[in-house]
Amino acid sequence: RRGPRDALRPRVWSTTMSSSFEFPEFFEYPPYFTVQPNPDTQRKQTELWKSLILGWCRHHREFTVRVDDESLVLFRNDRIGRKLPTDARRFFLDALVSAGAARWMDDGAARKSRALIFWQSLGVWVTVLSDWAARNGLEGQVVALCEITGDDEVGVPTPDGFRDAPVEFVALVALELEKKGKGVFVPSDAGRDAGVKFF
Amino acid sequence: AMLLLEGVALTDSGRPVLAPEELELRILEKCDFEFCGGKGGLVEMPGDKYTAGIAFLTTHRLIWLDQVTLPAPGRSCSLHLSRIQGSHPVPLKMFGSRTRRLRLNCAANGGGGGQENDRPGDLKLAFRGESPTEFSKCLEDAVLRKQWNELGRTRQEGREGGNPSFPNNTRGTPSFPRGANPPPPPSGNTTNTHAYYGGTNLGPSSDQTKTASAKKETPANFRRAGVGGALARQQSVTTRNAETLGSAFFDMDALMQSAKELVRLAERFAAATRDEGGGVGDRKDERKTASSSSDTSQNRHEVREMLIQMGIASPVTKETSGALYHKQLSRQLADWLPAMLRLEKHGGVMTLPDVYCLFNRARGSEMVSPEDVLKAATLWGELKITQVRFRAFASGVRVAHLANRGDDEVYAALASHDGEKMDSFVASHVLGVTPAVAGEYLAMAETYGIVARDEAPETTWWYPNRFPGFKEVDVGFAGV
Repeated sequence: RRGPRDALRPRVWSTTMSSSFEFPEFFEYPPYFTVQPNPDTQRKQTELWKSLILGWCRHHREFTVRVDDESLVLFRNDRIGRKLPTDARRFFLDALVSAGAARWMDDGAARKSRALIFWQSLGVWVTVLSDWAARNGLEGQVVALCEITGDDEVGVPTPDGFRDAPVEFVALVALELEKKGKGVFVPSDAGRDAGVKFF
Repeated sequence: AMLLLEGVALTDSGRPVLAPEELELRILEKCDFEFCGGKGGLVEMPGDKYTAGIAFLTTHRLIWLDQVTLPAPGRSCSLHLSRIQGSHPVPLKMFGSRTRRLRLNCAANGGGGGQENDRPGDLKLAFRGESPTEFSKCLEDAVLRKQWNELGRTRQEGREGGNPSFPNNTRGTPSFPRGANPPPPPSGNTTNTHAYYGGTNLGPSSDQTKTASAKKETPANFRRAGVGGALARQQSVTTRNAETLGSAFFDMDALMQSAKELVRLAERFAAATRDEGGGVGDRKDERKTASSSSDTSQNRHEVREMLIQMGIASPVTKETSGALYHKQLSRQLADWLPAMLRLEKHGGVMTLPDVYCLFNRARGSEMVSPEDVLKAATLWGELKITQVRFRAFASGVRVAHLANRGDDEVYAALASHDGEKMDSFVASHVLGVTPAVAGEYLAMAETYGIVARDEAPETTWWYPNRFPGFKEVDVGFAGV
């Protein structure tokens, strides 16, 4: 999604992004890919998977995880010949959702095939957004969501991490921002995109 | 006057230890020993009566087991049958107690004062459980048969050149035909008498046998009249029929006698080879063989294995123990099983189907059903058996295992396994048990967090649980 002008806009996000993700040692442990029946073991396994999903998504700046995407290296280790089964992926993503670090993006929650990952907590995202608005004197204005993600050609640099983020994600942050009383989410209207009005 | 009785050695599970020649005949629960004319019982614990016990009749002794204290001996005691001079049932008085009693005439052998009415040294058996008819009959027969003199008789016969195939005893079990008593001493049949009777003093003379049986019959006829007399007559008819049937099974008795000899021989051999240093008494030649052979331990091991599988000479059957069948079976199983479990190939644990197969093989005849084995194993807790345990795994697999083969050992062995992963086959080698049992232990170890499973397409692998040691990926913020 970066266009030809992107070279002029340096990415302020982590520079480790360009290097490949370093998988932790438990990724080489075959039982990691089987949901453990023992409750204590399972609890620990869940924590490990949550941290891996978040860490990997943060590294790759990946906001979306598709459960059925077999090419996702996050859920498979070809070296030991193991991959996490589909229902197990849903299981651990559910755990992330319960922890407030992810959200299912399907129409009905029952489908659970696409998850939005907040590799920072939602509260932190809100702070980043509102700080950015304050720094750039955007209070009282309505800023379009696509401006926040850098889709629009605006002179202002995008807030940290928001670049090229999915629109649904920004909308969720905006709604959370509204809940915290720092602004108002303006839904899209005929002829106008969705946006945020900062207080 | 006191009737002092001897103590009795018990196995770990509370069954009496029988002499090599001794066979159990009948067992009856809820039996009291009432000592007439004074006290009686064990010299250190004399009493007027010993109540609530099990009467255990063998070919040599009448044993009273203190049921309350089993498997500890308690007041368990025994009376050698040779001390019983006679026996007859105590008639029930019109309005008296309904408890059936059998009076045994014995000689007092202890000092002390006594009452006037009762003959000193007599013993009354009070039967408060099942009907004692069978038991009493068995007791009377056993007293008359004098099977404890058996061994001497056999040797003498051999020297005399008598027919060695003449059976001079009937095994307590199995008896023939099913349910019938061993044939009583034949009256008036001189030629066969010495075959039936052990004991040199009751040799070929028939008049002594006649007297014995007559002595048995006269008091009964004399005391009872009318209906009682008719019953007694019917009884003697039944006795004669049994006699006829008994002689018809003569040859089978001979066959069983030879089989008994073989088992006895094998047991002696095993005893000789089992000894570490010296031999047993006068077994000179066997001792030489044992010490001179270069692979003694190998032989000993083989013989020991064979004997364990052969080894049960006096099996518990429904006949000998009646209502007590499962309890006695349970005890016998608990006595036999530990030696089996200690064999290397079983590693201290066996699934119940294996127990069933091997137990029946050891018994030879008089096999038990799977339900009997299950019931017997289930009773171990109730009977306070300590050397073996019965348990069912969560999956439903049932095993018997040695009491000292604790689970902690198993978990330690699994956790410290050298290779990375294992399946139930590898684990069966590590633990020394069958793969089915090893799989059960692995599943149990998983519930304790010792191993973690890896569901691979080909099989389920088990790894030592390393999850607790892993560190999470640093995500940069807490609370998730």
